Amino acid sequence: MTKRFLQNRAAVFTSALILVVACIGIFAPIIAPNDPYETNIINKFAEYSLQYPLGTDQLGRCVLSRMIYGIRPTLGLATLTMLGTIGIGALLGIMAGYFRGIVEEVIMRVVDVMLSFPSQIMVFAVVALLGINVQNVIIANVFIKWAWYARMIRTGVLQYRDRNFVQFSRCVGMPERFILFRHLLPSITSDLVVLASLDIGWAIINISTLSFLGLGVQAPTPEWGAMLNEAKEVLTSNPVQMIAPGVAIVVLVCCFNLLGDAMRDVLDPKEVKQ
Amino acid sequence: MLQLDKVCVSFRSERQDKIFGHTRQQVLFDVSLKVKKGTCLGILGESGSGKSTMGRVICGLLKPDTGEVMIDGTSVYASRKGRKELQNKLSVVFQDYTTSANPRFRVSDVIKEGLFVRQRREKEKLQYEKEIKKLLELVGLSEDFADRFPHELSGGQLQRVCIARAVSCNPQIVLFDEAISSLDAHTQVQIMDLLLELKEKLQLTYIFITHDLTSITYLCDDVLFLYQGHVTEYLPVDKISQTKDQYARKLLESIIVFDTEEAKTV
Repeated sequence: MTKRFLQNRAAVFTSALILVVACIGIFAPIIAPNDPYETNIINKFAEYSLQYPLGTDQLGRCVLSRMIYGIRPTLGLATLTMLGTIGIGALLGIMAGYFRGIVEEVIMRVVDVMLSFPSQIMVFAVVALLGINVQNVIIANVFIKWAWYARMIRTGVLQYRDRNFVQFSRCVGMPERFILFRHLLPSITSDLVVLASLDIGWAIINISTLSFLGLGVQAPTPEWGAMLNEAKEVLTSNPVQMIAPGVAIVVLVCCFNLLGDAMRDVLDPKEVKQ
Repeated sequence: MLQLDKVCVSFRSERQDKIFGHTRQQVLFDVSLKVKKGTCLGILGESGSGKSTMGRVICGLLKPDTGEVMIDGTSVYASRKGRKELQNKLSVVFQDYTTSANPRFRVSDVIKEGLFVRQRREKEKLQYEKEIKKLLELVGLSEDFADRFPHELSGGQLQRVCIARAVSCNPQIVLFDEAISSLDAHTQVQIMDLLLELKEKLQLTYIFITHDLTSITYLCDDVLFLYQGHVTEYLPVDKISQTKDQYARKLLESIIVFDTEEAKTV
């Protein structure tokens, strides 16, 4: 596995880039050149300079520092959302697909109900109920998304549960645990990883949307989506403001998508090395 | 050793006449058989005769509607203990070797699965690498194969690995569900020779499901003809020519015709 991963150029590059971004986010206080909250209204929309490498925004705050501090909520929240979603989705999906019968019936009907709600409205409802808070945004996102995964994973499990290698395991009395975690789970990981890495882009954008609506990350806290929304206000007078957060989001989401594609190849032993 | 007593199996029909209909289609009718230790039973039948369903009943994956499956006197489906007993004593090799091994497992992992079962049962530590090497040798493969993935093997080699996996858990009975049907004639003979050799060496009992009469005569001691879910004939292989059953006769004749034609050309 590790060897195959290291041999895949795309996987190594993209995951390295994501790791670097994550590290920059973690060590933000050391790396950032300025205080991201320090306003200087006289110096607003400053040009690129040594002191402000990416200029300043409409309140005269250093854009680069805000970008660096913004990695934490952007990447962190998106990853947390995906982990939660996949965790719940995989657990329930595998249970439904493997045990069938009444367990499947109950889980899948709940999934049907979840999927028939419009997702944004659901998020508003959850946030309105629990209060405006970053933590609640994650809960809301996981809440609307897990059903997709549960259904997807159930389909995958159904495909594999009657394969002969599973039949053999059952026939000789391997523990269910082994069948679930060594046979079924690895068989569906390649699909799962692709879906997850595509959806992490969705999570980033969704968190940004909620921030824009004032339901997610609150105003002074730097967050890429929120920064983009602020920049949108001055689109005609200062279009340069869009560049930094816009490019950053595109690159990060792209990275995740490419990583997903590469991981599929890494996880499939049939994929021939080139 | 293994005994089936009046086993009936039916499945719920896919198409029902009424919305809440419960029409069932019966697949096996009162199937009874008995396998003695150290013998080989061949189950012969055409497509759709219920052979594989019977295989699933025998290996404990499908509970029959009525009837009993007994292993050494314990009923398999009546209790957990019976099920456990069967799991400990029976192993299986399937027809379709492409899905028989997990494509994400190396050959060593595939065999390790069987060894793991054995280790759990016998409660003694096994030296996996040594055992894997021994098993691969037993089925006529070199130990270099241990690090390969299933898709890097040929069909015959993979079927050998599956046989190695089946015997790795130290079973007393091995069920072959059309295990050699999908291989070419030459490989079939090789595998059958291997099976005979293994049977001697490990003192196994075989149940051999197939649609090929030649392989039955080559391997088995008893033969059971299955036709549309009914047992039409059940007799020792050396008396196979005395069969009075129509279906069995038909099969036998088709083979004889084939033989004479071949004789002519040679």
